[in-house]
Order: sequence, then structure tokens, then C-alpha cells
Amino acid sequence: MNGHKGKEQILNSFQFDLFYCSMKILIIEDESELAQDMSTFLTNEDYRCEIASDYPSAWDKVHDYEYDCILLDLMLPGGEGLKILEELKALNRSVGVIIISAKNALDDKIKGLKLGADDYLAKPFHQAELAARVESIIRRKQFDSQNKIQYQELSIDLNAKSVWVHETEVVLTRKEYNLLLFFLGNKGRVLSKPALAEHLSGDFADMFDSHDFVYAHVKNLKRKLKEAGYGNYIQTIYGTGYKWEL
Amino acid sequence: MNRLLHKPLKAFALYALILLLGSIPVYVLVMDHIWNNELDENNKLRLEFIKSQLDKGHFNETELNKVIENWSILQPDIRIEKLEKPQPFADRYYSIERPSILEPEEEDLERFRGLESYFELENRAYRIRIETNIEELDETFAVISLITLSFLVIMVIGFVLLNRKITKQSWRPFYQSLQALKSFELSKGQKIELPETDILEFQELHHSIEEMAAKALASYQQQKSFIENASHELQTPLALLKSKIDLLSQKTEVNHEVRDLISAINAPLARLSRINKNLLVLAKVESEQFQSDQNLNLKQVIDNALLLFEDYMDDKELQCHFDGSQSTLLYCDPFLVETLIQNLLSNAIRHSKNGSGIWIKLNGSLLEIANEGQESLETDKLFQRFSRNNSSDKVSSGLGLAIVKEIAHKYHWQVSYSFESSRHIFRLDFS
Repeated sequence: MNGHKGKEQILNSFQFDLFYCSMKILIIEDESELAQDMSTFLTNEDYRCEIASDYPSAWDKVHDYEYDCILLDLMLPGGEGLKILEELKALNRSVGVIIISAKNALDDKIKGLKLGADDYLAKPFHQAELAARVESIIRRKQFDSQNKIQYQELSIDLNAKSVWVHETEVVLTRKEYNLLLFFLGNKGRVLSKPALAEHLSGDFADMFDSHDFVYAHVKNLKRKLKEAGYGNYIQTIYGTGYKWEL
Repeated sequence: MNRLLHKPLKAFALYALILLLGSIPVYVLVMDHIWNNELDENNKLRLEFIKSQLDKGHFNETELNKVIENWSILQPDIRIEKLEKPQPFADRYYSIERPSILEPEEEDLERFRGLESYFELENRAYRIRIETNIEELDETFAVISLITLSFLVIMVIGFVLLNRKITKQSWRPFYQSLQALKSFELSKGQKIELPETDILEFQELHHSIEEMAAKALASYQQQKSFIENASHELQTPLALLKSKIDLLSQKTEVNHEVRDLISAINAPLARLSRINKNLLVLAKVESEQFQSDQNLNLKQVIDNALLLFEDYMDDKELQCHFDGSQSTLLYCDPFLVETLIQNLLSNAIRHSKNGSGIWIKLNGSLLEIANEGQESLETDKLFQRFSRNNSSDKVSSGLGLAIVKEIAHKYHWQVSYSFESSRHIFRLDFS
């Protein structure tokens, strides 16, 4: 009995893995160490990352393989990152593109988004933020019709922005809802308070020294999920922040 | 203050005055001298003519007495007197003042130039005096003074008029360069270009000004691009540092001590990246890289910022009073006006004590953001870069208000600070 259950779990997780294994991310970034860090952070059982550190190799990879998400640094040696974006559009690939730019220039952002990029992230950023964005983009590309997240007994309707545990609706504030999605996009990762604060308040979180409100929102989120009968997956990590335990 | 060209004018006028005043006695003396000489010559000629006519007349004594008598009636200014005994003397010129014989009613003294001579006729000795009226010295003096002073007046008027004309024409290049210097602003990055002139000094001045401005501009640009490049260069190591810390936090084996260290690194890192971001924003505002101006509702911008910061206000239990019923329309870059409002608001939140209040008043084109405080801030340093009042502040980038000022400057908005009834008040005039 026990063995059977274990087998089922393995089988389930295998199917789960198979399903997500196909998620390929291309990191086009000339700063190889940063690219490596992004790859290390993003790579797990759901994602596989490849790195292209210059324009020609990025060009080749884009032509030769299919990706689910491309992280594109606009400042590439040997060519403008925007050209890759134009090429992707010309190839008619349905790939989610997140522009990553140190330039932090608004016109780049506008140009990129016009050329079909899905999101824009300015350096320096929290890896967790990147992971959440990648997750959100892949979700959008993959489940366009449904727009629903099903995770264990938790189901989230992204259109209605409603959260259900089994058949019970969990009424969350806008920020609690955002936090939940952020956690789900970073399952098994330690999320620091500044990263959570920045996700909630945007770029301006670093104007403040205390992020105590994060604690209050997380506490409320945990309480509401628990009341709806969902397990306590959000763990407090000493001195750092929180983690959604797998 | 004296105008430059009034100084030589005064000097010239004074010089002319002294010169002309000094010339008056000279003219008077010279004229008097000429006058005397002329009359002396004339008197001499008349004397000789009379002497020769009397000689030729061969009058006997009775006839001669008759002639002299008639003479003194008809020509009283020439007097011939019979002397008791011959007493020859040399001709003598003299000046005398006496009432005029021709106008017996007048008692005023007149000046005469006289010639006295001795002659003998028919063995009788005679003395003849010829006196001719000459202009009095004081009258000459008065007339010459009047004429000279009239000329002086004409001269000074001429000086003033000429001076004005010269000021307007020759000094035009100077005033042009003055205007150019007055309107010169480094941050605008415009070169000074001055017109060519035919005056050597001004041409040199123009060249020097143009050169100096070009140098100042170049070093300003250099400094600006240095800041921009430096902050660009810093972005990558900052990003690396951030990602390394993110990766380090993921390590499960990390103990509490290391976790404390990680979160202790996070705070200064956040500040570092904010300083860097702000430097970039400053550099971009200065180099006019924000050009996407559009119509915005200021009230909307403030509402958004308040929503963004509500958690931070809740954390400190701040009471926010937003008094803005009207909508204020602005034409500007959305990012910049957001940055401006967010900087002012986050300052107010950060520097407020727990449980105090924040007041935002939007009235037409006037915006006031106030928070409670103990004492006034240093007004003159407040908007300067990195001029923090409180060095123990671990969050401030020291650039927030500098950015506010720079953005306001770009759009010609007025920003000011005051401390009134225990409140720090920042006022913005968008008109």
C-alpha cells in the first residue's frame, strides 16, 4: 500500500516534470557571470536555461531552437538587442520575451514593448522578481485560453483574480493576491523582504528602510489560506524572509 | 553705479569747462591789447594829419586862436592847448577814464585811449591831446564770458548727444555679449555665438567669451557624461552583487549568523543601487533625455503615489490628508512628474514620526506637501546633491531633493521649502 502510493507520487511528479521540462529559457546576456547567476537561479525541475553571450550566438540559437521564454539584454556587443527582437517577430515565433536592460532607458522600453516584447526589467533586479515574471509569461503563453493556475488543491483564476481552495473562495486583498502569485512563481526559493517589498511597491521600495508591511501581508495571506483549509506552505526563514515549501 | 561711458563724459565736460574759463581772461587781454594798438596807431595818424594841416594853413595868431576855439567846440575829443612857455616833451600814450564829452548828460565814466603831443607853431608852444573812446575792460570781459559759456553749453550738449550715439552704436557688441552672458546657462548646453564686430577690443572680447563658454561647456559635458558613464558602469557589478546575494540566500545550509549578514548587506546594497539610479536620472534630466511630454492629471499622479506608498504610511501609522478636489493638468514627462511626487512623498513619509500626519494640498497649480517636524532644515543646502542634514540616515540617497529641483528647473516650476508651525512644507508652483 505504502509502496504503491510512493510509486504514484513518483509517477505524478514525473508527469509533472515532463510537462514542465519542456520549458526552455534562453538568456541573452553579455555579462556571462550575471547570465550564469540567472541560469542557476531559474534552473530547477521546471526550467532549463541556455546562455548566449553575444549577438551571433544569440542569432544562431534563436534560429535553430524553440524557446518558451527569452531574456534579452538590449546592450549586446556586436549588435543591438532590439534586432533580435525584430528577427523573432519576423520568424513569427510565439515566445515570451523579457527585455533586461542596464540602460534603464524609457525609450528602449517603449521600443521593445512595441516590437513585441512582453515585459521589461531594469538592472539591477532581484532574481526572484525575474523568476516571477518568467513564470507569469510562460503561463500566459501556455495557458492562454484557460488563464487558470492549478496547484495542489489551490486554484487561481487569473482573469477574475480569484483564489479557490477546493470549493471555498479565499478573499484576498490585491497585495495578498500579488504575493501569492509571487510565491507560486518562486516555489522552493527563499524570498527576501526587500524583494517582496519591491514586488509590492515597485521600484521605490529602496527609498525606505523598513519593510514591516511585508510581514503583515504575508501573515494575513497565511491566515486566510489556512482558514480555507490549505496547508501552511509559507515558511519564515530566519533573518531573511519567506519560502514557499514544496 | 556709474555707467562706464558717463565717466569720460564728466571728465571731458570738466576739462572743457576749465579750458574755456581759462580762455576768457586770455581773450580779454589779447583783445584789449589789439584794441589799444589799433587806437594808438589811429591817434598817431590823426595827430600827424592835424599837425601837417596846421602847418600848411599858415594861420596867424588870431586865426589860429579862432581855429583852436572852433575846434574845441566841434571836436572836443581833440584838445589843443596853448602852453605858457615852450616845454617840449616826447609823445605820450595813456589811458584815462572820464565822463564822455559827447554825452554831457551821462555821468558814467568811459574809458579813453589818448595820445599827448607837443608842437610849436608861429613861435608859440601847444599841447595836443587826442582821446578816442575804447571799450571798457569789464564790458569786453562780460561779452566774451557770455559767448564762451554759450559755447560751453553747446559743447556739453554735443558731448552728451555724441556719447549717446557712440554708446548705442560702438558699444552695441558689448551689450550683445553682456546679454549673451546673462542668458548663458551651462545646463542648456548651448554655445555662445556673438556677432562679428569691427572694433578690435570687442572682437577680442567676443572671442574670449566664446572660447571660455566653449571650455566651460566642454568640461560640464565631460562631468555629465562621466556621471552617466560611471553609473552605467556601476549597474553591472551592482546587478551581480544582487544576484549573488539572491543565490546565497537560497543556500539551505546557511546559518543564522550568515543570514544576519546577508540582510545587513541588503540594506546598503539597496541604498547603493538607489544612489546609482538617482544619478542616472539626474544625468538624463540634465541631458534632456526625457522628451515624451504628454498631458497628465497631477491629482491622478498623487493618488497613484499614495497608493504605492500606503503600506509604508500604514507601517508608521501616518495620517495622510489629501486635499485636492480640482484636477490639475500638466504637460510633461510622466516618469519625471512621478519621480518628483514620489521623491517628495517618500521624504515626507521617511522623516515623519510614527503616528504623525502628512498634509497634501493641491490647489490649482499650487501643490503643498507638509509633514510634522521639530526644527527647520537648512534651506540653502537642502536641494544640493549629497548635502544630507542627518548623516545617520541609512536610506537616503542624498539626491532626492536634487532630482526634485532639477525636474522643476527643467519645466520652469518653482519649488520652495519653509518651516511653519512645526511643519516642513514643500511648495511647488506649476504655473
